[in-house]
Amino acid sequence: MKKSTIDVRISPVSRLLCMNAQQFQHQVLCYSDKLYRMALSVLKDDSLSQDAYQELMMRLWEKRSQLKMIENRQAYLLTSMRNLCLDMLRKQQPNGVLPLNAASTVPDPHQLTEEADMVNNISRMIDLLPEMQRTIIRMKDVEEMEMTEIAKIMSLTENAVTANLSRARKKIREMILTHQQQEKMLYEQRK
Amino acid sequence: MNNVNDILNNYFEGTALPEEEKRLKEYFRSDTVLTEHEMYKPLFAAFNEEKQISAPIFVIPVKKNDKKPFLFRKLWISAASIAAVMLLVVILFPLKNKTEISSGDYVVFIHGKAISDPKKAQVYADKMFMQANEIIRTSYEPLVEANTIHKEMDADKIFDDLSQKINYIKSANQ
Repeated sequence: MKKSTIDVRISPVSRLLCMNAQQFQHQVLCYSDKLYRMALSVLKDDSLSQDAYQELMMRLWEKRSQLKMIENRQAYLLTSMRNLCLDMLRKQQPNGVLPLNAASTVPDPHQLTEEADMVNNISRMIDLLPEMQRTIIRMKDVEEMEMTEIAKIMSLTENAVTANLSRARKKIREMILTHQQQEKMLYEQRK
Repeated sequence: MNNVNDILNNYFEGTALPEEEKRLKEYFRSDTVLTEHEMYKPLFAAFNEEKQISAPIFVIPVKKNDKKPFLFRKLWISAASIAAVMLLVVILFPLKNKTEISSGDYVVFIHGKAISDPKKAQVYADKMFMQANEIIRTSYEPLVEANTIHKEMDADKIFDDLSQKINYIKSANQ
């Protein structure tokens, strides 16, 4: 996917506000992509993720004066985004309870071969993991974040993060192996 | 190869060191991936691909949330200052009345209470004057009676009256 630049439009009348907007860009908007990817990981939906991202940005902009006091801004922002997404998931449920994670089943091999894009399928496999595991694996392997920071964002101990990461990676490996076996079987059947 | 397998195992156990993970990612990004490791190549490629996902554009809502233009703000500040000063005067004025009374003020103290309403003060003063008048009238009544008696009991007058009467009788007898 092509990377887009962050668009910050400032009217000439409000030149005095440039500093605020610039500070906001340096302190918050520089984490935009990570925040949006976090939303995608939790919500697994483009449209909902965009809504969550815009909502969070609006809230942060309104409370921008308080952001200066936050020491670990990245952890704070990612935690805020995850909490917002989890709230959105809760609101979608009639009983207000967070939905249970989907069963970690391997996607249908027919479907996979049709899509013929293993890279995309890996992303789908990750999406099948429980929310905590998929968020952790993405923070570690996509965002390349430190374990201490992941632990802080997830409100877990480092050991718990390691355990969840290990479980997530093992499940992915199992899915990859199962998928390969199914592909082999399909190949042999076609022969 | 064994080394890659070990690192791969550590990776899936979640115990690989950051340097090992870095090496692993570099290995799968290269063209020298062994056939037995090919199945894991999409995994690391997927991570790289996901990293390319970028956020939608967020436009800072300058007009809605930010301060008004300079001239407008200046006018607003001036108006607010005037209003603040007027409010201060209104707040302080009663305090001044309570603490000190200027010569021009119409104030009457009744039982230690300052009354500035002229009508109320007038009514109260009239009432008090009526009471005082009644007191004076009733107090001077015995004195008036005594004066009347004193006038009636005047010896000179009595003797004058008596001498007049005697003279009258004398003249009548002659």
